[in-house]
Amino acid sequence: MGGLPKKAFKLEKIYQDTSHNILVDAGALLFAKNSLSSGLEIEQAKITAAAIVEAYSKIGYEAVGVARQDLAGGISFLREQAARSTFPWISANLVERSTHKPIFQPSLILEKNGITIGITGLTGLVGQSPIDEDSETEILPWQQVLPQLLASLGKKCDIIILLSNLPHSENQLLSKQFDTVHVIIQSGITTNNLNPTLINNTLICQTEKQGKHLGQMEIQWRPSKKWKYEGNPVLLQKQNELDRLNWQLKRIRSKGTPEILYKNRPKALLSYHNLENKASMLKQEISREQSTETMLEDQSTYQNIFIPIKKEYPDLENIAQIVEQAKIDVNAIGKQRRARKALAGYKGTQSCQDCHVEQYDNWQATPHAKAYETLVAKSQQFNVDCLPCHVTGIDIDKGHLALSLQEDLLKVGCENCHGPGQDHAATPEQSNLLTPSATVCLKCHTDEHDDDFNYKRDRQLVH
Amino acid sequence: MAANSCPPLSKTGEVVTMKLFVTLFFVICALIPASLYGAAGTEKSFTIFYSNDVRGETEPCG
Repeated sequence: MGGLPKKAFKLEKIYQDTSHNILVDAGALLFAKNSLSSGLEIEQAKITAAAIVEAYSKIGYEAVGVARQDLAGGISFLREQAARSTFPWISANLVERSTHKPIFQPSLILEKNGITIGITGLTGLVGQSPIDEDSETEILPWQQVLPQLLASLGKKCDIIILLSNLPHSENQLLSKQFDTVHVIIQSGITTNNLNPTLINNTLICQTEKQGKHLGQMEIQWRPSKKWKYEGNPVLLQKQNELDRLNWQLKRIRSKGTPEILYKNRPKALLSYHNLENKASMLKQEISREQSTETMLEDQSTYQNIFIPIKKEYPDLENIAQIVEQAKIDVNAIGKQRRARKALAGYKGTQSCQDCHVEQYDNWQATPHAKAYETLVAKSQQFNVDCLPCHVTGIDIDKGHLALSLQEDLLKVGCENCHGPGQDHAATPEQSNLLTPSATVCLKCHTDEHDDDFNYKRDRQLVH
Repeated sequence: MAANSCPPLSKTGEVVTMKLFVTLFFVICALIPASLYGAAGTEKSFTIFYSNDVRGETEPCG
């Protein structure tokens, strides 16, 4: 959520003319996971989610898809959020079990620059994980809902956009089956931006995880409702072959007139004529291919770019206020639950100092020693989502336990990498400590939090 | 009296004028649907701005 005020800043600059522009989110914007573990984690995550909805409403989003992750707070929570959103939440296949009636809006029709745009959405079913809280809810397969919906939208709309939370492979299948879905914008976690790929008559695209980019697709839509195939591979291959032949012919001719040059070498002359014939045939074939292409002038085109949301962008003030307030609320609710208890097996960093003076002194100069203080500086020291990577001995999904940690574990100390040290401190001659591997570091130094992490280089900095 | 001095339209002149009007009428009638078709046949443009997975952080916790 930290980048939302920056995204809003960027959007304010580029998304102004709403008569020609449309702003949508494919979903997966409220929660990081499909299910949340503890009561406090859910409460804090819901505060953040509500702030995202408020920010999206202020930014002016026009439609948002319902992804599986957006249901982690329960259906009733999403219903509440939908009621206070200025934009519709779209899902055609998230339905009431008994009636198969969609819970949210199944589709939306917008008019932009004289084009009627139909938007629909599909919620993905990740494994067999049930939707918490509401057994009356069901996610239907796309095969069951799309035929009727597309037939209806197709009659009213010039172009149809699908906000899809389905896996990429399912979206490909769907594209092969229906040529009336013109654009699929995927949601969910993906490492890289996915450039639009044309399958049948559907462009599939997605921005990378963490909202680090904003997709911008300019569409020139023509009445044929067909996309133009860019870079005909057959034509390209033939053109390359012709270029190669022409280069060979030119090289021969540069030495003199072939008939004179090869007067006494009939085989070489024959080869030259064969090359000439081949080139001539290829020219004709290319010309035929090109004429077929020009017959398809009535095809639609697009240009797509991914706009990076850079850290150095300023924050848009009103969105920054929403985010800051959410952070304060998240921290406050965590603060109420704190308690001080010893963590079984852990001794604390101070006790390591007695024997490992040099390592301790080196460690003290590293960011690990101040990891908790950085949270305090941002008033996030009670945020269970952040805590596991800023303290010692807490698993990533057990952030709520960090609220009970003793003072000496409120840092990324020795035992965070080497394991609990109580036994070793009691009998130093017996070492049960671990030699940490890359996986220990990578639990926290993920792309999400540290995209510049290099294990070989950075492990030298630990102590 | 200058108006009265103008010679009246001849029968041939009336026919030519009438023919001109009729021709113009048909030309306009033919052009209207053609221009409408032309309008429908041209491309129209719009831009989609899209995002995904905003929940992740572009700024770490601390």
